[in-house]
Amino acid sequence: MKNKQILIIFGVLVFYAVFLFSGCATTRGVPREGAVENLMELINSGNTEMIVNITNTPMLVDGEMVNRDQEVTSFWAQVNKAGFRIQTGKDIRIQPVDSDTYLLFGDTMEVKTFFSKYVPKTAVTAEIEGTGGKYVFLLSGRNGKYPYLFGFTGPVQ
Amino acid sequence: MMKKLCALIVFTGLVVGLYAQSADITYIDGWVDVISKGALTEAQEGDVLHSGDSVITRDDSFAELEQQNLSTITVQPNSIFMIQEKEGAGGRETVLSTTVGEVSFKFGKLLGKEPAIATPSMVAGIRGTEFTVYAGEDGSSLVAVTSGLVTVSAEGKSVDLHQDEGVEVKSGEAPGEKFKLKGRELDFSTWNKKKYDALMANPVTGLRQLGKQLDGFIADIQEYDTVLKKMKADKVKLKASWQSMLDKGEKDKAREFYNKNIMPIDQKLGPVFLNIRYYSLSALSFRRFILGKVYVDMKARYIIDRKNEQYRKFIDNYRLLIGKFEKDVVPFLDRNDF
Repeated sequence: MKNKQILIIFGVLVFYAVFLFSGCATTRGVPREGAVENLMELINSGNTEMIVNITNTPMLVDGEMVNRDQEVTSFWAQVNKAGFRIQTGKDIRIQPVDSDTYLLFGDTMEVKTFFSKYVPKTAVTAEIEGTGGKYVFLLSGRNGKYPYLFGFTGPVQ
Repeated sequence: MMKKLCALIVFTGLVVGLYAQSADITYIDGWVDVISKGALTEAQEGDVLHSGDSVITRDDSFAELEQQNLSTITVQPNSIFMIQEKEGAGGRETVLSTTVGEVSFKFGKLLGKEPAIATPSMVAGIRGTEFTVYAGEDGSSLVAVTSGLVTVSAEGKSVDLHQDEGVEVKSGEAPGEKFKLKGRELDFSTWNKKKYDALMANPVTGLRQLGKQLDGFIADIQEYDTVLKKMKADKVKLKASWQSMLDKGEKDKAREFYNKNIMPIDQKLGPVFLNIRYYSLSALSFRRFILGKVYVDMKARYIIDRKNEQYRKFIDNYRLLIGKFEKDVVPFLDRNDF
């Protein structure tokens, strides 16, 4: 009888442990508004080196997969040089990635495959007002106070 | 494009022996990636690369590969190199493709059949050779020979390169005039920058040239696909005749008919399919690493000036090219190829 009670208590503890840890992992994996705001400030700061550090390779720019670090660096350096800025203080629309999210980037096999192979299930899209329209950032996980950047597209309708 | 392949087939048909279709990564300096079966992973020394695998080096990394015939391949920084297979007149052969960047090759003279070398704009047959291939980000190529013989072919024309000779093949054009190296090493970065800057200075014209290269891959795919479809249709008809013989109880006649008419088609189906795969994968690599890079650069440069006329024209033409790729190339690719 005593053994049975110990087994039940042990089972309950294991269940809570699994629930707790899986919950933590999921929470850590989903970028929140604060982390997205930090990313926006980082983009506006023009700190290309840090932006590159939090950009995943491969990264998706519209319908194109950027596979080389050199090209990721070049992209963010050019975007900064062109004067692209995020309008901070505006609403940020964060949505979990679903089966249709890829269409924001393009209806091609390249994009579909990128989403199935490289985008974590906990990823979100953040729709943000930038120079000349709304832009979508594909984000997941955390590196310090910033989310990891998996994709960028826009302006979107 | 078909002429280009014929030249390659004639050359490789002269060479006998079997060539290894894999390569071992023997040395890595810095971080090097490998794309194998569509998955991007960090390369490790000792990894074995098979047909369809790509090596991607970064600004500060390079990789050395070795094949079983003791040939050495050095993938220099910022390069993309792929091992492929194709059917030539002499049977199945390895094609070592440099999509972008600088790759040096050193082949043993006595150990069997040597592979074909390719970039998006040319193919080359080689013999007992040490040479370097440069594949520019504008789709152009440069070949420089240290020793041996390299036959560079593009758009139906060929040029033989001997020791200390080089040639440039511009995107979508035949090989230019060959030049003497005179002992100097070519500076890939400077050459590539010059080519790419020229493309970006007139991106609409540059994209048109790149479009011609994509058209070349598509034409080859369609040519082999037509052959494949005809062979399959012929096989269906022949099998009906064969079945009819069997139904009549003419077993010996049916066997003879099968061996004479159907078996040869079966033997040719595989090689034709392999060549469709070769050109489809080449087109994918070209679309991803050459066309894609130009698009991403244009996007970044004009991100707040999207009404710019040059940018608008570029985007319109780019969409047409991608549409063509989706329609004419994607149906021949597997999901794992991406």
